[in-house]
This record gives sequence, C-alpha cells and structure tokens, in this order.
Amino acid sequence: MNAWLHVFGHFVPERVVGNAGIAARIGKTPEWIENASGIRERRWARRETSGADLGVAAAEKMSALLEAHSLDSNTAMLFGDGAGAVLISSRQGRWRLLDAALHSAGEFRADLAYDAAGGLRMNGLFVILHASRKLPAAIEEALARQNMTAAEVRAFLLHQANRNLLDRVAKALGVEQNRIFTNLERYGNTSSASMLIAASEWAAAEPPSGPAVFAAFGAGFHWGAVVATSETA
Amino acid sequence: MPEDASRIARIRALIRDVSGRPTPADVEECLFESGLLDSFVLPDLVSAIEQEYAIRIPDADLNPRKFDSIARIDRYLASRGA
Repeated sequence: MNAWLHVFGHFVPERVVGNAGIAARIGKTPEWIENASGIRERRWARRETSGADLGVAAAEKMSALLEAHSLDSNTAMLFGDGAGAVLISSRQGRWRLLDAALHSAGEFRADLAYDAAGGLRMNGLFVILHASRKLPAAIEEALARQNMTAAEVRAFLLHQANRNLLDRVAKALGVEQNRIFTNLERYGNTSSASMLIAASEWAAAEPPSGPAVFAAFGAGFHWGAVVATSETA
Repeated sequence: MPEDASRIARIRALIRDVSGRPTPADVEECLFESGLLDSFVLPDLVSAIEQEYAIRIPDADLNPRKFDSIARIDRYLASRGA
C-alpha cells in the first residue's frame, strides 16, 4: 500500500453545551448522562450555522437532528457538532498506511440510520452488541496481516461513540485504557467527525513515533480499521 | 420446546453474575424493562453465555430480543443444542 497520512485538522463550534443544558429536556440529571455515556459537555453550532459551514470533510451538525426530531434520551444525550479532516496522498508524509480492514453488513441498516423523514434511528442495544465485537475484530484483522499485535500499537484513534464502547474495545484488545485516545468527555459523539477530531488532537500533541490504529463504526452498519506507522515524531 | 430446569438455573446464575442483582421469578419477564439488562450488562451477558456453554454466538444472532428474558435465552440455547 503506497499511501501516507500527512496532516489532520478539525473544527468544533465555540458554544459549549454541558449536561445541565440538555438534562431537563430528556428527563435525566447531568450526573446520569455522564455516568451513562462518559460525556460531560459537547459543542453545538448556532442554529444559523449549517453543516457545510463547519467544514468540507467529515462535518456533522448533529444538534440539528436533535432539534428536528424527537429522540429517546439515550440517543439525544450523546451528540455534538464538529468537523474533522485528513490529507492523504501517495507522496511520502508523516504516517505510512500499512493495512486496512473495511466491512459492511447491510442487514443491520435499520438499527443505525438516518433519513430526512424519520430522523436518526439508533437501536442502542443492537449497536453496542455489534460494535463491541466488530471494531476489535477489524483492528485485529488489520494488525494480523502486518504480523502485529495490539500491544505494539502506540495509540488507538477510535470513533468516540460513548465511554462504554471505548472501554469494551480496550478490554477486547487487552490494552490499557490510556492507549485509547479519548476526547469524548469534551465533545460528545460527533458521528463521522469524531475519529478525525480525535486524530487531529492526538497528532497536535506530537505523539511518539510508532504504529497507530484508526477505527470507526457507524450507520449501515459500516466499520473498519486502518493501521499506520510513523518513523519520526 | 420444554424448559430445562438445570439450564434455567445456569442462566439465572449468569445473569446474577453480570448484573449483580437477583433474577425475576417469572422466566418470561423482560430483563430490559426490569432494568437487569442494559447496554453495559448485555454484552457481558452474551460473552458469559458463550464462555459457559463453549459456543460462539454468530452475528446473525446478536439480537437483544433473543436475550430479553430467561425463557428466551433458554429457548435460544436449546436451539443451539447447548
């Protein structure tokens, strides 16, 4: 594979919405939201801001879905707005892509989907059952093809779905939780933008060189993992 | 398919282990509605069932409805010959 990751970028709106800001609306307490999801606050764009205003790559204005449709509390508490991007090319860059394992399973499309008429549909129990198995399996599949193990990976940049999923992926891989980069508590679940926002913050902190894994799970179901490595910090 | 008393007892023990709470007397009671199972406990229960019965539950069977009562879990395990 001759592809390189050059740089990550992200944007999140300035407006911080703490759990207290949505607790009454969904009939829960701020503490309940944090215990159930690991999220303390998220960023919501102003009403006049469109998704396109946030960015042109993975840009999500999830708060608009919450405004437009009635969601159950377990779904409504999760989401925040944001955008992430990565520049990839065949020219040498900072991280060399080693392998990728990409999957989809359309038979589960009704359990996590969005359409304009019905809004966001998420069967949370279904999603956690599948994501907590499929995500580690994809990561291990891509690593195995490189004769690598999870123990050798310096950092895991995952879709920031909720604390429960991040903890389960760490446990399934047998790695310490501190190797799972986490910004969920500050931004919530920003859907397709979340992995790239996490990667952008991780890269900005000048991480040590070595292998890193990027992995996400989402509507469809679609899921996958990418293994990359940097030779220099 | 008839209920198997010893299998029911093993299922009750598994649910108690993963949820930390006593199981309902009624085997048909919905474990989600009664709060014993949620998104934190359900994946652990499925893994515990796999370990206890030395089976692999395939993706097609990873459906919360198959595990939403003691009776349903019993019927699922019976269908797997467990």
